[in-house]
Amino acid sequence: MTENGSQRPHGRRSRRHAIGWRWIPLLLTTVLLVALTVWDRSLTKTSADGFCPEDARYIFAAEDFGAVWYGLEQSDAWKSLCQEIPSPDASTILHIRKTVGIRPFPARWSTWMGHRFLAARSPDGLGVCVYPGLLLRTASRLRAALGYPTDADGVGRYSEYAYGWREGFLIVSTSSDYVRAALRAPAPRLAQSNGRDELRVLLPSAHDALIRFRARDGWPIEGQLRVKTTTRKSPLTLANAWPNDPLCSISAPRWTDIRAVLELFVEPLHGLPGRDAIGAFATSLGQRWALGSLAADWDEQMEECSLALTSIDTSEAVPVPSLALLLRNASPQAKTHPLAPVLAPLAPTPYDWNGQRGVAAPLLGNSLNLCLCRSGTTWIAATNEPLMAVLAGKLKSDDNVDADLAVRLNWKKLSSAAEEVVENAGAHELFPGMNKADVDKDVLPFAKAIAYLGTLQLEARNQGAMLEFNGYLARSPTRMARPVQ
Amino acid sequence: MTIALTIAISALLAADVRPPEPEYAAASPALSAGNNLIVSGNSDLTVYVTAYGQVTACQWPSPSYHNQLRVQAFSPRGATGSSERGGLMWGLRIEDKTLWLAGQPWETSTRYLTHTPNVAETLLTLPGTGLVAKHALFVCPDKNVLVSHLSAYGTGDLTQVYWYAGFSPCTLLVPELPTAGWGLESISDFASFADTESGTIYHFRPKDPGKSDWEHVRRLAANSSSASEWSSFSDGVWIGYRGVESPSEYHCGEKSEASSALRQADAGELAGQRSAVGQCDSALFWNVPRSGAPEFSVTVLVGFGMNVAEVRNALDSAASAKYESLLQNNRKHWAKWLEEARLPSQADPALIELGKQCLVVLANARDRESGAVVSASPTQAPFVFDRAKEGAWITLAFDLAGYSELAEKHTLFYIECLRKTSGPGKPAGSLPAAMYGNRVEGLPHLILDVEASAWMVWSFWRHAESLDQNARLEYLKKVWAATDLAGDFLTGWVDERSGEPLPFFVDAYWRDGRTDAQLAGIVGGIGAALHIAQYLGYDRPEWTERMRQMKAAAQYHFLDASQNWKIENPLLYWPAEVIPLDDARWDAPITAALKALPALEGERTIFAISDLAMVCKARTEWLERLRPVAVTALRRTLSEAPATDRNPPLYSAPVTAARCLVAIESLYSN
Repeated sequence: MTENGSQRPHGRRSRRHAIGWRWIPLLLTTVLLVALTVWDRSLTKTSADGFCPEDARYIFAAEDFGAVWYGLEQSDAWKSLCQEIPSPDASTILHIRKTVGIRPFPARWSTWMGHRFLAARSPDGLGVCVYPGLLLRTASRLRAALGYPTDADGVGRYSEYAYGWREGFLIVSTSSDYVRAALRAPAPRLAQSNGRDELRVLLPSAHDALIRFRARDGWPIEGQLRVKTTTRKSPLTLANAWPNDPLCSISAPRWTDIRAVLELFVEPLHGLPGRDAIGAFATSLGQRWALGSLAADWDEQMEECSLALTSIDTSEAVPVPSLALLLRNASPQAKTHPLAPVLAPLAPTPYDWNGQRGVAAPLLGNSLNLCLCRSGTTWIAATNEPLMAVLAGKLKSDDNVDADLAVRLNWKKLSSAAEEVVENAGAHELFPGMNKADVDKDVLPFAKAIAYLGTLQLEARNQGAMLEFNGYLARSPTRMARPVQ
Repeated sequence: MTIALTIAISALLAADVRPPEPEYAAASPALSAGNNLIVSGNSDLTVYVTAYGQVTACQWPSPSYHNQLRVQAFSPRGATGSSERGGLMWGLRIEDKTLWLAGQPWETSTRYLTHTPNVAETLLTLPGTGLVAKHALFVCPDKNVLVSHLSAYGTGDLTQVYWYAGFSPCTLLVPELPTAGWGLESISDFASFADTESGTIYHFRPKDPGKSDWEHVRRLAANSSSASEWSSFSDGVWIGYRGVESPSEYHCGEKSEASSALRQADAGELAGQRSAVGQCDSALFWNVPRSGAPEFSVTVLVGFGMNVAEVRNALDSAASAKYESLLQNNRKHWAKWLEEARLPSQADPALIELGKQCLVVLANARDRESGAVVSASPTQAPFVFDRAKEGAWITLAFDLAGYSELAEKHTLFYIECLRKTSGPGKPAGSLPAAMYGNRVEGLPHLILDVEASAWMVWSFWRHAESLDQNARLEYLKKVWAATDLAGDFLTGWVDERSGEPLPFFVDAYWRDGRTDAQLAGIVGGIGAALHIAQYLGYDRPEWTERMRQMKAAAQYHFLDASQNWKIENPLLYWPAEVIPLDDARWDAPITAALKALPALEGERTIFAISDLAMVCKARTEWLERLRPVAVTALRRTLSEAPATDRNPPLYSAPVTAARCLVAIESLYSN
């Protein structure tokens, strides 16, 4: 017996009883949470990609955006960027936080927005489509219940954003026209996802290009686009022949192949202001320079070409690029440089670089002094003499690439040029809406940070009417550390 | 009876309504710049006016840079010019349609006011309506204020008068980028607002606006803030305008949006928006009284400054005077300035008037602070700079016309721009191929113009020759360091094998090359450097030796075995003096050139006469042969078709004006 007369066993029993009851809410909560999680999971599960306007110019789609985001943050290339910019996505995160009041990060994104993600740009603007979970759906219902209606098309407004629901997907944009168009457009036809950490980019207006980006180390990408290039029977020998890593290079069997790829980059500039003026200037320049012309099929005799932007001189206000072209002839006996007719009207002067004979014709001082020479079985053209001296007789020959087309980009060299250009442009008010201080704070760190990305390496092969490519956006065998200041 | 009498008197009045007979002087199309027929300015602010009276460019704070107007500067024909919609223009609302005084269907004639070649008057008539508009426009000589005065006569169908302003305040000046003055409009501009208290609309852009400035200005626009809040922005470019007669409505809009002032004025209804951010435009309108007088006049004053206070002061000071008084002040100023001109009294009066126009063109193209004289039209990229090769003619014209001080300051501007140390593509002793008025390089450094240094030294010597003994010595001492540097550069820029200059930039090819004109220019430059060295007692044997080699090269190129000319037009190469200028062997080329002169047009006539004059003045008989032919040809340039349809209009008015002055002065030099 105890002091108050109660019996211990009974007390023990009742305490056990009490403890048992205390567990019940916890258990119930757990069960509820599990149930809600299962429900949430079932709500966020879909095989569809989402919706966007039919006339979207480009579409980004992910099976699990949270996974892509997380994978990106864990990748070596991202960590390298963070050496210069502690949080490269800070401004986007801040914008989202200011708009919806929640600071997003991968897990929180998945909780609210679900896994599926689709972003697109159409003439109406930019928009996002997600397949949200329980939380956002409940919030949306509550909002509707509180008297925030949608219009006849099903478009509602929250802050500066328009939104609409379709088949469980939430479409959001600052443009209500975008949302309206997405609500009535057929589902976009996107290639199937190859994994949760994959981001697909579809450019319907740009040669049906599809790019698959994996949020992993080295940022691997693969994809395809509709471009006609020549198929090689043997590996490319010039892609890695450059003695010093050029800033960027593109190698292909023929010049027309290189031109076809370069045009892909020029096409998007067509609608830009000043494009006509630049075109007219280029035409006038061609007429004034009165260089010689080449036969339409001049490159048919070529077995391989490689064009490189070796560096950009940014010491003065106008950046001056140094370019070089390597050509390998199918018939090694050819005596004349394939580009000799171009320089013929300029009466070029004979020159010698490292024992390799050639000619030079100055167009604009030393910076644009067209040089031609032969180095072994390779014909070289360069835009200045010092560059030719680096190339003539010094090409590497032991690293072949088994592909029809190869692209290389040295991020460190690009960063060094970009840094100067950005600083200069910032000082001269050339960034709309920004002054020098803004540019130094918001743009320059990105120009500096790309130096740590290593190299971009892409190799492509013809597959029917498509050119299929794969490689890495930021490959570095040993990731560079930030130099000690 | 009373009604009939009233109708009769009204009809009589209407029939008699005509603008007062203007005292026009012909504006020479040869002195126009692109489709801009007339230029008015004060060496800080320079405006360009088309044949319809539309203002297509406002260069401020220098004639050389910062076009403060948005104009479509590129035409599909590949030439540069300006659009028929935009800039600054008047519009008349007739029968529910706004007709802008900027092109068809108006019939137009634009002339300078006699004796005041800085005032543009445009007379426009609307065919079949009896409506006549007279637009007078000028820049005040003593303040940065543009005055635009419109009078409409026969206003029966006229309901409203609009004034449209497509300002795009610009603070951008990018070295080596020749399109910066007009090709980057999309990143210029900032905001506009109406200060209803003073009746002024402001367009402005602070220097180097950042994100916080943009956020601030958007907040101001959203909150309908007061003028004092708008005025809080830092210095930059501020432009304000107001109607002397109170307008019926103001409007600030965003270009390319529904709020655009141009769109709304086209529709005949200004919404009265008080501010706009980004790419802005604005407009004013006045209702024309239905039963008012048959003449309706309005004046708009436009002030330019670094901040709102400067603009307000300039506008207040101009507004305190009446339009007539401002016009009178302007006339007095230019009359006084032109009084100093040493124009040949025995010349034909039309040529005297032409000479005055030329002087005003040069004055308007001159940067007050640096003394640079730019080759004018802002829509023509290669000519918004001072280029020494062409500037030599301008210095010579100032000297011949009696403006020795301006000539000297012009040469000293080059000394400040001369490269004192060598850099890649920029050897010491060379000049930039083109310079903005504030000495910033205007063309990419890839363009090396060796001739520029030669013409600079040539100008030094020519200017020195026009001075008296003491002044000459003092001046030459001042320019000796630059002469020495340039002389070394010119004599060192030689191909050792041929003794000729190494290749450098040729304007005609847009690339490096070798031409006879280059050779002649460099020989002339080294010759001038040797004269200066000799005068100051410096010994430069290496220059003498190089001069001997160059002269030999020039003789090889220009003369045949019997030492007669073997080239087609030796007059173009007179600076080399391969054959002394008074030698009889010049006779044949002079005869040929005189014969060809009547067939030439516009600036080609003037260029040919100026080249002829440089040679002919060596012998009286040649000058007397040249004079009647040249006078007829110069008079003809005053009556040629206006330049509106010229294509391509790449064309340098100040250089033409300078050559024209040199020709007029030289024709009567003895």
